[in-house]
Amino acid sequence: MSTVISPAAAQDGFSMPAPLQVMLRVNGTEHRLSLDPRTTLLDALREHLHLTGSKKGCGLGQCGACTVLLDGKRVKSCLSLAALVEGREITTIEGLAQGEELHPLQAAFIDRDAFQCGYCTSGQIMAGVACINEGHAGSPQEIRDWMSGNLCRCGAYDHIVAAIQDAARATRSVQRG
Amino acid sequence: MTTAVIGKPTSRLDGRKKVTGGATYAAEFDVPGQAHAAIVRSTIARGRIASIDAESTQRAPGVIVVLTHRNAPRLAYREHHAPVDPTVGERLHVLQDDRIVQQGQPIALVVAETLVTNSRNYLSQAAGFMSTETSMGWPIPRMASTRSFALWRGYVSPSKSIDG
Amino acid sequence: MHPFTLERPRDLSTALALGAQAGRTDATAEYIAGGTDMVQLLQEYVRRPDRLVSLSGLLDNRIDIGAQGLRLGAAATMAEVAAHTAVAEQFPVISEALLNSASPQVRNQATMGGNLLQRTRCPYFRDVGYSACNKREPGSGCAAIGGENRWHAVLGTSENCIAAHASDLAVALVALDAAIEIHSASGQRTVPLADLYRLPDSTPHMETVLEPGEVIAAISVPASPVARRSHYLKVRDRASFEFALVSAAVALEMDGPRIRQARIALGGVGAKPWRVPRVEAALAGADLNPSTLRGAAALAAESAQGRGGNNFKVQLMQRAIVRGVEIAGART
Repeated sequence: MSTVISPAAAQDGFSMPAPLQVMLRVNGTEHRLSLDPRTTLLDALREHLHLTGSKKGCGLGQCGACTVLLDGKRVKSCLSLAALVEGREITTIEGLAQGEELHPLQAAFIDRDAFQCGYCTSGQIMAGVACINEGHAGSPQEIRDWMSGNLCRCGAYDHIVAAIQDAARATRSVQRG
Repeated sequence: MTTAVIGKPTSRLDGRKKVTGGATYAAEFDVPGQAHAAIVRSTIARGRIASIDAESTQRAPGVIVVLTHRNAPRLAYREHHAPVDPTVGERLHVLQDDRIVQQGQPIALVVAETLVTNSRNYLSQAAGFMSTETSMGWPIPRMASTRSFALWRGYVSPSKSIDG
Repeated sequence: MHPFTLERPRDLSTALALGAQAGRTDATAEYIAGGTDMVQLLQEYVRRPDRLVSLSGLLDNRIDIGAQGLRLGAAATMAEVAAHTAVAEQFPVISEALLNSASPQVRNQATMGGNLLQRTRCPYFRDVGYSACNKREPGSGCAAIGGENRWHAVLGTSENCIAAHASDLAVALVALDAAIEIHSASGQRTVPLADLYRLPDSTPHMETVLEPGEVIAAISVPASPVARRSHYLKVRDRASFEFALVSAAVALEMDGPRIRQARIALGGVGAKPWRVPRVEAALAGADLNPSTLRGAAALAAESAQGRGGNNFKVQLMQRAIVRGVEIAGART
């Protein structure tokens, strides 16, 4: 039995879709890009802007390593088409620290040894920042529930939860004081 | 002296880089003269490659070469059964012959230049555009089991048990 | 992904005129909103439209609660609706269904309309390496029948397709008799949500009654005494970020210790969200006695057909109904 494998094989000729002009605002800077419409936000960040901090773990929205903030809300950049987030405020892991000064959650990840290989770490931190801002970091159980979109194959979950708790506490005391 | 750090909470050397997105992993290097590649994978689980037509892909702008079992370098694979290996099966011999032994097996590699042609979609499209024909065999059940294990890309339930 | 042209219309009438069609796996033009299902399908070559039409910024995203009930703009995100206090108070089954779906990131992107139109999780549908899928390739067969079918439906199936519908929100809305407002270039129509979905029969590639150029613009849930005392019970392999094996949306109006009226819909077991009117009728006037509830729940299984790997769902869905009614009944 013969099977044609390749999905696009039925196409005549080899043509690229016309590129779209897309303006992406990333970490406060505007970038004008010419993109294949199929380009995901993740691929635009990594391959066109060379911001490789956001990671591709699954490319299907299941692992969370690609998590970035869109207008302050956490989303999976591998599930967003870059051309459809034009003009929105995109914050990546590279945009979190203020110069030399780490964001409290970044510092907490180091202090709590909340990573091994580090590949999920960017996504964990971006999701963790949002989790704290949303007010969903009140208890370890709540954190586990609200961080369920981020996987860690090295199994650093306990330390990740501890780091988020530390940073949440620090945030709360700053707000009070 | 190493005894100065035993028992002390010491931060990892790679800590700052990993929490700021500055650590570089395999796919993240971008050095001058670097090429990029996309893998064409088999969608069937077992069979033989009857033909691969890579001509239009070869001619696409920026494509350096399309590697298949026909033109890939011969690698020094030998049959390999260490005591820890299962008694059936063999390591995958990548791009060495026309056998397909698993779904997702690499059957061709499209290598292209950087910049315009380094777009993942471009490479994937170049790879996807190649038409390949295969003859489908029947997948051999894993180990001694009578039920084959189905691996679903992108959706694997942790509760699914593996027989055998 | 298969190459496509991406249209980013500035107004809804342009988007409608472009004539994309949701719910047909052979449509050459599709709409995209949040994209959380569509982009997966594109990446895996399950969907290969030549054209995508973005609905970003074109649809209503308001959440309105009034005397007539609840109106959800189709562009409201899952997160926005789940976090809405009045929805949680007056229609808890909806909040619970949403909070038990997906992950926080996906909920921030996914829209009400898109969630209702998501495609099945059937692994044979989602993997183009399997050639036998009537939903993806009409006439090619159904690999799930006689294959791995633990996740599949036991109700509403046919010999051509046994895929289960995946949306939790749809189950909660069907239990509450929701309707959808459909907009097209020629005007508007309103359709009960339960009638949006087609059964597979001999055409599993046609999933909805939407015509080309039609979009879901809003969802309306009528005010009802059952809505406040409602619950969404989801039974699944993992505690989070996992689809339902079996789920039950239950809404009750109580008269002291007795049920005055019940509305129940099942998820994970139907080719579409499955209302169980015979169970509802048996529960009218019933008390919360477990054996009474079990007797009524058994009526849900009447036309259920297990396919080997999912036989357990026939029992499990009955128990889910009983547990759901008990939990909703205990609410004050």
